[in-house]
Amino acid sequence: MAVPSSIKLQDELGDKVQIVFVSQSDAPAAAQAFALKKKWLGGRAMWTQEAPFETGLSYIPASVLLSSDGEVLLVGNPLENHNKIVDLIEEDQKAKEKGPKDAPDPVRKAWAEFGKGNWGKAVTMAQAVIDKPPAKDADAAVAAAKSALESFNKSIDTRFARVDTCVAEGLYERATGELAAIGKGVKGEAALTQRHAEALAKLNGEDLKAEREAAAALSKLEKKLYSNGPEDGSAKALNAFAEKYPGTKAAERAEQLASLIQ
Amino acid sequence: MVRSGLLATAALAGVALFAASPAAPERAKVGKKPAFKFEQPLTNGLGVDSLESFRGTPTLFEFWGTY
Repeated sequence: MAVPSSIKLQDELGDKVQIVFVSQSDAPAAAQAFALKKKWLGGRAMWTQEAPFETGLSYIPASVLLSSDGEVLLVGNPLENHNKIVDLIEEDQKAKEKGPKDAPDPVRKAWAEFGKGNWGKAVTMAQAVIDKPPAKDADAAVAAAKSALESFNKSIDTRFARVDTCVAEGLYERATGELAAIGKGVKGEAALTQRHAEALAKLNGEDLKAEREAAAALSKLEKKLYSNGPEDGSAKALNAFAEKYPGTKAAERAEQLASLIQ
Repeated sequence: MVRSGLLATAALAGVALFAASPAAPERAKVGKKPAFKFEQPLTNGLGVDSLESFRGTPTLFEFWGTY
């Protein structure tokens, strides 16, 4: 079973790759219960029962790697292609850090900054092209800058929305991590910095105190569960937690985890 | 007569089922950009609802089973 190698890849490369496990043979709860038993849960990997495409291969495990632009880079056996997958991900990152070759130079530089994670700087640079177009090929540069700015904003909106989803699901540790990454990315751009500050204040606000405390308490149980796998008393501890923090998202998650063990 | 009626009903039901089914996912081919919208939330998905949601980060899909 190649799943551990992909989980290891997710751990090794962190934010540079997203792993999605597709298991069509099992109901989601069964797949999760199996993964929990194998100690594969708890990371950033996602799980689904829906195949977003056919691999055309007659075996599993099979993997499909998409570039950051959504293009299929590789289809094959993850065990045989581990090094190739790592190389392709690194090449993808390098390409992002150079920006698109066909973009006008000042816009390509904005894309390059975005690729490096300097989103605030990228937004400022694209906006500068729109506000003060270059003398040469001004119309093309402005059009490219507008298109780039739209993409940057869409991507940044997605990141902020992810924080909201984390909060909605009671994942405060993850929300804090996401928001820290956003804070680093938007540095230097006033409106985005303000937006980040507001999101941070909301996350740490009084309204969410009970949820935050419950999530922190559950996090300890989860770490032990994901690290050791289900043990005698795991389900009992999770159910006891749910009773102690009634009505919280953490309690819901604890009950759901307990149901995977029982 | 009854048999032809049943056949017609079955055929209509088949058409209705076919029409209601989501489009089959396309074959992943190197160099292509497949599109897909998920009908169910992904576990740990944090709001992901389509392949487009992954844009910006290389994504490795691993097909596996518990059997």
